[in-house]
Amino acid sequence: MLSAELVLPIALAYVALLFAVAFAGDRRARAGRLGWLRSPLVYTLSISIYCTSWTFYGAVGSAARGGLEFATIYIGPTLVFAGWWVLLRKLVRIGHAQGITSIADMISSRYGKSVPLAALVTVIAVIGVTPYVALQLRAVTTSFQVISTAGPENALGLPASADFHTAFWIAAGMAIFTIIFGTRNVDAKERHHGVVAAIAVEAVVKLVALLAVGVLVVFGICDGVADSFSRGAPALLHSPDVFGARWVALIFLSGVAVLCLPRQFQVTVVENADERHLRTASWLFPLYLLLITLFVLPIAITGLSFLPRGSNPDMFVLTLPMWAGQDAVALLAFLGGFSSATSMVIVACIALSTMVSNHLVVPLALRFNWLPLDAAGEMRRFLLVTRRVSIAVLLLLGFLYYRLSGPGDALAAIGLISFAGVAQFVPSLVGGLFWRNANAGGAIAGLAAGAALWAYTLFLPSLGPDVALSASVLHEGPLGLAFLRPHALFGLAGLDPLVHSLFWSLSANCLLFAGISLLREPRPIERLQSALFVDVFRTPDEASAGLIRRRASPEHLFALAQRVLGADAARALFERAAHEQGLEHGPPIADDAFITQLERRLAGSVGAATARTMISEAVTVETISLDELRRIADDTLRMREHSRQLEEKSSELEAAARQLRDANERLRRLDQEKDDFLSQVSHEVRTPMTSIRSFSQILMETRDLDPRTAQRYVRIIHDESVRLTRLLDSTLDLSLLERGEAPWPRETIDPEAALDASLRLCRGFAGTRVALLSTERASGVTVAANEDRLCQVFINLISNAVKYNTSPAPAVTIASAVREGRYEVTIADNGPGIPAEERERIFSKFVRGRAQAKSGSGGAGLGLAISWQIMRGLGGSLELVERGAAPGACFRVALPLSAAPLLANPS
Amino acid sequence: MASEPLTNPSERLQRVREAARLLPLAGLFLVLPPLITLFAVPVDVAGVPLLVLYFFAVWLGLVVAAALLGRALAVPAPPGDGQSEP
Repeated sequence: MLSAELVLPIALAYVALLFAVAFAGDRRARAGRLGWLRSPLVYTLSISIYCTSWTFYGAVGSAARGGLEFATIYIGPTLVFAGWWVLLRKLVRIGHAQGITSIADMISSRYGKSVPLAALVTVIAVIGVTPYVALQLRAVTTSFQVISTAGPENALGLPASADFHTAFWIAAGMAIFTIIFGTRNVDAKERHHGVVAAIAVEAVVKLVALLAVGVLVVFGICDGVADSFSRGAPALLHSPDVFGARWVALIFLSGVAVLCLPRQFQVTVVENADERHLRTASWLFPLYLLLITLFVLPIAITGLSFLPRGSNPDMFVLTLPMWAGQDAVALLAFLGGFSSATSMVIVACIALSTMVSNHLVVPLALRFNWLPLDAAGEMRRFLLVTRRVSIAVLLLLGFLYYRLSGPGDALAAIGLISFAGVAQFVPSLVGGLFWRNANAGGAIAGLAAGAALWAYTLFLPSLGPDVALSASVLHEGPLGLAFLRPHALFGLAGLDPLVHSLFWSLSANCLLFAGISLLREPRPIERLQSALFVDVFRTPDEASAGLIRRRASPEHLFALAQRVLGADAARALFERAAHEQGLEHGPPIADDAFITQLERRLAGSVGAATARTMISEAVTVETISLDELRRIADDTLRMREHSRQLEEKSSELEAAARQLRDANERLRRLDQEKDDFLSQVSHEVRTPMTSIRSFSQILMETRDLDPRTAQRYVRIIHDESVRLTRLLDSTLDLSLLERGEAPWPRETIDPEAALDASLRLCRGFAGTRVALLSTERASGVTVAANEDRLCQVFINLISNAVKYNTSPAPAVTIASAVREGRYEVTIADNGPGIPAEERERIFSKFVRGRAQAKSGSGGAGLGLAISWQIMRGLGGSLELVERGAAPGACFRVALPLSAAPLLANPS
Repeated sequence: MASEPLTNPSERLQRVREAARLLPLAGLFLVLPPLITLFAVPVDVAGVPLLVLYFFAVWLGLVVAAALLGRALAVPAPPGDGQSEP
């Protein structure tokens, strides 16, 4: 059997160990070797102070009474952490950006750094958390009594009377630890490394202890998991009654509490060293919760079936190992419970004492001039003293609540009162993160109404009848007004008291928050803060820099900094600022950036609201640029403008890139064409030149050449020269045409006359071999063209058709007509035609049809290219007509009709 | 034939972010009535009540999903990606 003589030294030794860990952690941090102290694992373990002795002892009690209902308290935080991307990430980002020191600081900063709002949040938090602290004191006291004193009641986990003597000393011990390690720095933004190290150790201890008890119960007392569940009453786990309004309300409450409890806010947001740690915590913290509750149901069922009737289920974790005679496990369980209670109390007191000193005491001290104004570092000492005193006061309040409420309620019931209290922060906190127009008026009204209703319907009745509210008020309503009964407000009876209180308080809270926010115009500073909070992911720090313009004398600011930060820190800050401004000596220039920097630094010590008040006193002129603010605040416009500009820019760039690509392609093609052209021309020129050179050489070197041969050679030379000249003429012609530099006088002519003239000419060399058929002809047509050039095209086309016609009965058909406002001439032959693969290129330079190439006759392959260019120059077209299976080729020349009458009769 | 990925990495990241936003809603749907009442039946699986198995399975599923999403979200955001909120 364990006794007080054994348990007390072990508990004290454990406390000494915690002191050592905290001390070592602080020393490590001071030496700058943070290492594992700022790892995501330690961050997650510090968040697990969510699991207090309510979890350690109370979860089993809750499971024994309501089955799976206990798990709601852990599924809410699981959902919030699994959804960290939505809410927690934003909170942590704002916490870093604004240098937030507590939840009161967060809410008041959001609503224009409002001092009354911060004070209100602090008061609600202190009242709300008091039952929670009392719960821890009660759990530790009861567990100590159960484990250290023999007696039938203690074996049931129900000590005959609460040992307030022990409870007081436990509270005092916790106060001392918190004061030593929790108030080392006045800057609340500086992390409490020693405390974090200690609570990380405690987080491991409580998990191991609860798992050890679970393993003992399932595999030691019962025969495995199935056996432990088989002993349970079926109603406990198979009843769908659990899943009512209370189930939903509890999931909501627990999800909310993990954000709004001051200590959770402290470890999750304020002590967060790196936003990326959230990513690990998002799954590791839910996993921790899963593990710590894994054995809760088996322990609860086993306790119900083995321990005597009337045992206190809240103490099963301790009484089961004792009943089984496993003193070592019982002792571990006691230390686990002790760990979970102390870690919660320590962090809660640090968070709350910061809030009390920054948001309640300092504003009052400033208002009533309690502080000597000129003493350097006076403020710092004052802050440390208030924090230490408030830690003691907070534990005293918890102790008093414990004394007043007595041993009545289950642990979970007490904890839920706190949850419902801090849940009042939700509309202002979450609403303020996403709703731009939420303002301080709405937040204050909502919080005040919600908190008042919570106190009236849940907190005050929880103290028991005749403590805060008399029994008659509880049962009949104040002054006998039945519709004001605390548990059936406005006649809403029959609900679970927690759901009832939550419904009325949060409804009033939300309604006033939204309503007054909509009615009231926000002040400029509220608008600024709203924009900075809601758009924290979009607004760069620089954007807010130019918004507030302030003037102050550096001397005033220095005096202020000295008061709050102490002489050394203030001097260091000012010297650094002067150095950054490039000043050799003397005070820094009190520009906007410096004043903002100083305010941020002061806010780390005294909170944003107080810091702003103090700075405002030193500042002579303050203006908030409304236009600038509107630009920032009018986010939708900004985003739209931004994306529109981006879109425009990208489409412009795309178009430019496309044009460049096209131009490049064109240039490359032209370059290629030029190369081809040059090599073709050289090639064409070389053949006649070669024969000219060879024959002239023969003429020069052979003395006795007979005159007939010589004559023949000279003719060849002459013919080749003519061919060369013709080629060069054509080339010149084409290049002029291509550059569009061949200005022929265009006059109104009768194209039929030109066609007739060309036909006459072609009949000469067509002779009788080829039949030139001129079938349907248009008449009375005028076009604007150059007659000589048009003839050139006709002659080229007809002569080609004649020359390369290899048909046994060669025939060329020429027809003209007016079609769709155009004069068209078609020249068709029955020759070999143009193969499909050549159709594309037939109008290119130096392209000869296959037939022409075979015939070996001496065209340069420029005729069609020149004709095509001429037609283009005349505003008409030359194209190859698709004839399907019909033999031969067919070219179509087309020109737009001219409206002008024929001027001169062509000869 | 290997199918070509249809989306580029930043679109994928966008979808991961959307999944991260929806995860808590999916979890909430699974643990709220009326769905959860379907499992409050006197059926045991290997000696453990179905309800308990279901509840802890959902819980574990949330842990695993959060871990996977956390890993996917660890991809550094593309530069200039100032707006990661809707």
